Amino acid sequence: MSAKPVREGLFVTDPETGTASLLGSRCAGCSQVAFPASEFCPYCGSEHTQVMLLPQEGTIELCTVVRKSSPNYRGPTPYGLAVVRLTPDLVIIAKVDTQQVLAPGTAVRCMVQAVGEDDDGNVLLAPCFRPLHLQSEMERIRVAGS
Amino acid sequence: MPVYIAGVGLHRFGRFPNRSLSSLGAHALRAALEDAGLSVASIQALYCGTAYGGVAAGHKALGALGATSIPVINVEAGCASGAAALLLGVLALRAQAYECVAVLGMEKMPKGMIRSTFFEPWQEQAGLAVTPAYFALRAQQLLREESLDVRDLAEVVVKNRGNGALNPYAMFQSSVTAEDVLASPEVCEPLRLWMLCSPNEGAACVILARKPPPTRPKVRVAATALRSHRFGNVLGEHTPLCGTVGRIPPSASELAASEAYERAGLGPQDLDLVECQDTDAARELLACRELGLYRPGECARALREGWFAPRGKLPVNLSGGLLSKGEPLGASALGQVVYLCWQLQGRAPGVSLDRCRVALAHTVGRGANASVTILQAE
Repeated sequence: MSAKPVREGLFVTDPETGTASLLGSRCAGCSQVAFPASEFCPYCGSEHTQVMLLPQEGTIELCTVVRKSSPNYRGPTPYGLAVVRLTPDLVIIAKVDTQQVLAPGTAVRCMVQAVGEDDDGNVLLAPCFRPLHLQSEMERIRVAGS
Repeated sequence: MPVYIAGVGLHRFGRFPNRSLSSLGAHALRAALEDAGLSVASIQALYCGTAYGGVAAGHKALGALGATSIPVINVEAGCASGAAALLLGVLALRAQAYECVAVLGMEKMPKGMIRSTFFEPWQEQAGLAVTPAYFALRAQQLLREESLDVRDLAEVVVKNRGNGALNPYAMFQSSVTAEDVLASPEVCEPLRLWMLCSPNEGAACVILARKPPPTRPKVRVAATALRSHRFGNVLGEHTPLCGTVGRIPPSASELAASEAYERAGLGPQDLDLVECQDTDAARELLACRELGLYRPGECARALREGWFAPRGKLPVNLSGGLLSKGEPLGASALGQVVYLCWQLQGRAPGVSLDRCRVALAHTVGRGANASVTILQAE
């Protein structure tokens, strides 16, 4: 049994920190950035796009909480679904590790989360943003514990 | 080249476990033909909107009235499927290809949260395929932009359920209080269960003709527009995973509205009645803004002054809307047209308006697909 992303090419991970970077694509024609990375530009239709790493950190624009599992989802609930601003021009839809609505402006960092297994028993990994205040709290506990 | 509504028919929206999709469609088709005083032999083409109906759904419904060998075209355009079928029918008559066509919308929706092939399997696995959560994010954005709160959303439900209580064709025929709505289970903040419409079943049919019907007040299709989206709005109904900040392109609903107003030579100020997409309570308020019924930032005032109430300056969803009727995707747009036609002809069940000369129907959903149809009494 091994772990694999829910979709190839969705993100890359840093094994040391456990953080992840989502992969987007920049259009050579109109310069727009799209997520997930795509062979074509959804803005102008150009086929000249280049895969790029998106920033690991962003801020919450809007956030709601999903309390029940949806079809085919086997990860933990409740969780947040949010509009996260990654750059001054780019917002994405992302899953957030929270059980409460996060206020606009809350800083979040991209991590990876296990969301169940596929039919072959592989652990499925999906991106999940975590509030920075929560993360620093956990690091503090970890340091205190060691 | 004017296109008239010769007759309309409806199968009530609700849950009908013992009726097949074809029998729902055939019921609406028979009712519309009877309303028009026509036999099935008068129909030269059938356009059928359905999203979940499967292969050749319109053919099966027509078969229940006797197969007549006419062209049957099945259309899928998400929540605007019925409106897409209407557009095809109107264009065919305007092109003088036919004298008389039938436009049918019908659906039997799966129960529970709508599972759509629109989402890819990995999006489901990643927890990103939660339709009400997208509605909730859009609702939050609207609350922020228009300085509203969750109670304003509850009041939209109170209005529509109050209207639906008087509509014998509605699924829910009981009024509710704001307290009831706010006490219903929270689905995704700020949306409570009763702020969301129920997917269900039903059928609606409109007979279109180049000549007006001899025995009914004349109602013509002044304009019908169907638009899809431009990319850039992260909360657009095409349900993307990214978008831009600042330079957001006009929505599919805004594009359809401006096209329909321009084609009809009419504007929001000319409307007497509007039926719009209230998939959730916030969606109605957003639709009203996209249709130009209030200016950005003016929503709170419109609500405070009751503009869209049954006796307000422009009643919205007087039928009870999807919040009372439920939403059978393929049928919902034509259900609006049937109801508006009844109002324009002074024979609507429930609340009847003293004056109704121009009425607008709006749907929007997955795709994105948005439709705006303007009907005018002559």
